[in-house]
Amino acid sequence: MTAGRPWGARLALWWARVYTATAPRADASDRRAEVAADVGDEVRAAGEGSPRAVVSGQILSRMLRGVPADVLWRLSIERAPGRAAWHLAHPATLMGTATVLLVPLVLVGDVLRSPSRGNAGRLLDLVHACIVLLSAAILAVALTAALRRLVVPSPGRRDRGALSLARRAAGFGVCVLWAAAALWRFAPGPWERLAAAAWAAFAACLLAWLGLSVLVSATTWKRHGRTR
Amino acid sequence: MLEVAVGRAPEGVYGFSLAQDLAERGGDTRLVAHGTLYKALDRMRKAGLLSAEWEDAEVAADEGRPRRRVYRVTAEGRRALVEAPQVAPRAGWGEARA
Repeated sequence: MTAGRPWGARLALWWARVYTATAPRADASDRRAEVAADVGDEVRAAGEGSPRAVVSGQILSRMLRGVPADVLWRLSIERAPGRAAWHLAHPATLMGTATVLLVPLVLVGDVLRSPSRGNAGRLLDLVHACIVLLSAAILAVALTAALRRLVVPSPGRRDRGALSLARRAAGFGVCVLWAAAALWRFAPGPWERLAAAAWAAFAACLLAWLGLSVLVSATTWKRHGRTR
Repeated sequence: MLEVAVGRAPEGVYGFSLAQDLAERGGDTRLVAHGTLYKALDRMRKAGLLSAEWEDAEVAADEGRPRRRVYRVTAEGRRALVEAPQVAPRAGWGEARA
């Protein structure tokens, strides 16, 4: 049935999965189900006669205009009591989000400090400060999570496959090494070499994470194919 | 939004039907967007203005579509709707209600 959906509908469902990922189960499943019903109704209302590209465009437009509200909704959920502790126990969402936010910041920082930009003074300082704060936050969350794991063992982890665990470890490495490389990116002298080493390790981890993601997806797909 | 839901009583409204009604009425089209619509419905439900109920799974299965969440205006919601123009009068509100 999924294969028959217009790409706009699939994109809207994918986005709903993204911004509800790791939200409390009831909130996440309600929101995903509501978006699925809405998108399904819109596709049916358009009927067979409407070009799929038009239907996709309409759904995409409704999705894109709602993105700020989706993000605010998710942030409002994260203000609930106990969520901070939950995120420290399950740091993937925090670290992943901060890493994604760090990517454009680093790119802007690189553009601003290129010689062709001339003197970008204050703006570069501001971007640099944001990079340092965000990178330090990622490293602090990673350190806290690692220490917590040593003190409080998590029983639910043993039933996960080796591939899945390796993928999570690679993902953890990607976030930590990207943050480390960003933190020392603008630093002079020996720190610069440290940043280069972190950058190289980040690239290796990223490749490993991508490869493992493909393997995990293929394994899951095979398993589902067998049970169908 | 409450007005549309009152107009669709007693069967209630669901996400896409509400978006369609709001789009037909014109006005603020931001509410038609997925995120804005469901965030507003969620807030109104938590404020007690709307009640929400998932429809029977069999009904949805018979029609070959996902289950809808049906919203109905509560007594508190009707009261808020009556009081709304006095609390926050807005340009064009009277015309829309007429």
